[in-house]
Amino acid sequence: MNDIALGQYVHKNSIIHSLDPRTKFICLLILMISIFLIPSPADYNPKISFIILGGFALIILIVVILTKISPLKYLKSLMQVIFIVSFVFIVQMLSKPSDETSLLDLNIKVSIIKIIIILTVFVLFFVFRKFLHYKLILFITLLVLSTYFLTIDFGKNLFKETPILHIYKYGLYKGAFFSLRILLVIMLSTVMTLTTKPTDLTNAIEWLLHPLTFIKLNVSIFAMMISLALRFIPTLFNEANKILKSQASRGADFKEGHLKDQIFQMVALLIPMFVVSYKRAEDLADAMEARGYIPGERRTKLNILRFKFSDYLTFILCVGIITGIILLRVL
Amino acid sequence: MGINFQNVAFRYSPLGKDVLQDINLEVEENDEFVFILGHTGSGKSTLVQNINALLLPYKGKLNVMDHQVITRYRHPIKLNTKLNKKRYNLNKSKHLFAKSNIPVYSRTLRNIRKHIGLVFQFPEYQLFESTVLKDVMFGPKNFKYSKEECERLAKEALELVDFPKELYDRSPFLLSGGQMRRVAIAGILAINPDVIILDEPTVGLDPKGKDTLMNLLVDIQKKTHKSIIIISHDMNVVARYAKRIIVMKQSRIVYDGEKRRLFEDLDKLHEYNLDLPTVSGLSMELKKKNLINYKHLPLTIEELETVIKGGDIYE
Repeated sequence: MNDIALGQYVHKNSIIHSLDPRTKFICLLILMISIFLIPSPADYNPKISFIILGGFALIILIVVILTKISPLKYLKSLMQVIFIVSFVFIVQMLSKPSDETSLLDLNIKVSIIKIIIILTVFVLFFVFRKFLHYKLILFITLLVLSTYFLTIDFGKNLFKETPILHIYKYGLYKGAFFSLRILLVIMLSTVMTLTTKPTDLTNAIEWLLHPLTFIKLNVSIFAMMISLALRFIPTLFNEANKILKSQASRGADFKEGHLKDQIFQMVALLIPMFVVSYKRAEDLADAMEARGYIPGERRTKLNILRFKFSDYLTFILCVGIITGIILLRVL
Repeated sequence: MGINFQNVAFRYSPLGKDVLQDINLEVEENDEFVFILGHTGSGKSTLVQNINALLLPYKGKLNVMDHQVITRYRHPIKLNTKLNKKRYNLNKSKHLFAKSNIPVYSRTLRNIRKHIGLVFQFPEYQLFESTVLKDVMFGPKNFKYSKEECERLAKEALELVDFPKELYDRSPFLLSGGQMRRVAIAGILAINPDVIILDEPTVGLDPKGKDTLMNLLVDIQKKTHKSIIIISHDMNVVARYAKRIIVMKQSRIVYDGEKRRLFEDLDKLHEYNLDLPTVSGLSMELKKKNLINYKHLPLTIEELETVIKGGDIYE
């Protein structure tokens, strides 16, 4: 119940944890921008761009080790984007740079009939999955067979076939480069969310948005709203779970049945949820007012954010990195 | 028949701590009035949710009204497929099948929920319909009774909880707290369960409301002879109404038996983190000052009265 997306913060006693949240936020932005500023291997010397990328990977690795959090947590967040990364890799790999001899020819010929046949096979597989043994092995053999099927040449009778697909050296470079870049950015933001409490993060956002007060936008109310919303997600989640259970013990069934039934069952969950959350909100408003909260008034802070020596050091490092990258691009 | 636990263990996550350990328990179908006591976090609510198959045990045997609740397997297996039925030898008719997700809301588990009525803490939050009657009818409707029968069951349940007839068409959100709770309890009674379980039913009610609710439950048992299981922290209520007491401590059942034996053993009581009922505490003080004398510790005001008058509780 505690591993909802927002409860990602892991408490450890490390240098990264003790950094000011504002520093972390700004440095995250700077490093992200500099990662995206690394020249791509297609229009630069691929060796150099990969070396720079490796340098970034090293820096991030050091930061990850410094956080003292188990690498499994990081791997978990990387697994969430693995699909996008592999998609990017494949698309980039197959893209054709200006003029170059291909590294490897894939004898793939795509036609509508072939695609339809393969799709039906896979749909049948997913429909009858329940009744099959050794699903994974079967799935892999199906994949191999379908790629082989794609390579067979039926001549030009079976609709139009697209030309052969090639893999190029530079395409490979680009694929590796772009997917690594995404992974690094994800790693960076994971470091941020794992080492910073949500409340600290909202404090940092409030401080960063401070210039907006000049155009008469009340930033403190905005920040309060964010932190209250974050604080109430686990509470409401628990509440929803409780109501779900009590309706289930009255025989409600949220998974099966016709669509109409299911919608009706959802009503049995939603209305109590609304009632509970309104009640909670009212209680909270009363409690805040009883302790003298007036919206928009100036408030003092319990934890005043102060930049320390280590914060200045990380700032200087990050600024150094981004200027280095910019200089490299300009020169 | 009834509820039967044999070495049941439960945990929320495969690698987590056991929330229930070595649970051996037998509750009859009729005429039991059981109180479950225990410190916060001792596993009372989890035990009760296991009975209702909202949570599934991972070890041991749990029989509820002749249905065996299957234990949860480590891997998410769809147990209602033909192959898995064969593999896990589940072809006997009275087994219940479930995916291993927790909590479970599968249709196949509904049979258990029809036999066991579980009233959660603060049950008034489960109300959602536009009128009281419709809300009470929600339960029977889910168990596929016909419309006339639903209405009959709902009206019977509302009569059982002594709910005024003229308020049947009122919105449940306009009722007072005590009335809302009664409607919620009626919502469970309308399913016509064989065993009724209530999780802290008297919390948040005023003393008079507490008494009326408890008397109502006693009445319901007298009329229907159904077993009632109640989780409670209020020793005064326990001392007055309990027939049998189960005490849980650190995910185990540490006491199962009659109430007087529990309250007279002060060391055990202290060990279980339980209080004495107010009256018992008072009479012990009185005995210390030699103002009264008794053989059996008085648990209720009436018993103290007989002791003061010089009688014995068992006479």
